[in-house]
Amino acid sequence: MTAIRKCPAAFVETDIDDERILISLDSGEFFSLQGTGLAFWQAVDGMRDVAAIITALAAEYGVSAARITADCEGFLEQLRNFGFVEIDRAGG
Amino acid sequence: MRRETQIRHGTVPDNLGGCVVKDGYHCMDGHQFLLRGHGFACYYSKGAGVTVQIDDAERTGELELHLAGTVHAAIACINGLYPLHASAVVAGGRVFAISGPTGAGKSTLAAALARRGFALFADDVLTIDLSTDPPSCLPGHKRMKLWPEGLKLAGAEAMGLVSPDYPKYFVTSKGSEVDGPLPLGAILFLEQGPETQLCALHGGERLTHLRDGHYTTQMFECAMGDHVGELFILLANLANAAPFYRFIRPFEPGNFEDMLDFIGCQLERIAGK
Repeated sequence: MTAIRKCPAAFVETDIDDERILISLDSGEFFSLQGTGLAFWQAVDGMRDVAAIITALAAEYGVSAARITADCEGFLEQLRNFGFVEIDRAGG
Repeated sequence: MRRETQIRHGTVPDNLGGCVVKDGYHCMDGHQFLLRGHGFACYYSKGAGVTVQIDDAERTGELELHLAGTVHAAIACINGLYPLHASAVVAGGRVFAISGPTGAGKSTLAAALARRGFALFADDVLTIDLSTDPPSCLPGHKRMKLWPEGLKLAGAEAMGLVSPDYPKYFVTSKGSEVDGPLPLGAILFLEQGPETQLCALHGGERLTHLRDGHYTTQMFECAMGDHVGELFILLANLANAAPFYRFIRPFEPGNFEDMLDFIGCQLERIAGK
């Protein structure tokens, strides 16, 4: 099991207009999520792995999974680097 | 704020919590604030008001400038209020903040709008209570200070030099009758550009404009200490409470009245929404 889950101790989030704004409680930097980035973030539910999220987003946007895989994996890597998500490899 | 900003004369310490503050510097520590200028000093302690010490009478104007600006902002922060680096006028019962860095023309624009009938609400620092929904603006200092070129543009009369080292002038101002809290109408961030225009800010841009280069926001962050998430939510609530705009206009004295026509109409339009 490699579910992706959010790390709520690392950030605070709120909405301004149609953007989801996250602040890193570690660095004080903030980040704006909108469009597909926001859709990916909202799909992180602690249950699904990255492949399942990509499949769901591909269906939602009517594109092939292959077309969005690289972008999604790159975005996931950024979220991990900021400490906003972690991959649950323990079988949770 | 009125109680907390009461002033008495006395001896001001040269340190805060054992940390010596040199002339030209200030320091905030918990519920205390110390500012030391050249020839004057101010010390604030929550619940005890402001103590000022004047060693050089020629610096009285500069002291007054700091009391209305940096010291006022610090007192607001220590009391949980957000000080926006802005002058402000009233239109349609709401407060329109004119923000920007030092020298951007905040006071000049506010003074000129006041001449056109918009009541002056605050000069240099606008105090906002973020604990109310929507956030409410508290009336502030109204004795304006303008650079010489600002005097001419605003059609204001010089009353006296702030300081030989800081050649702004206090100006005559009849003040205004506005003396109670009012809701925020909008925040305008001043910029220089080739054409006069008002551009709405969106989403995260609103937060970046609140944070970028504003000493008052840095002071508020300092007062909030480790409560980064709480501060973020407060500023986000402010960003959601009213529209924010970039107000871009050329620095051409010949177009100043046209610019005033434009922004006056825009304020009336936004206030009427």
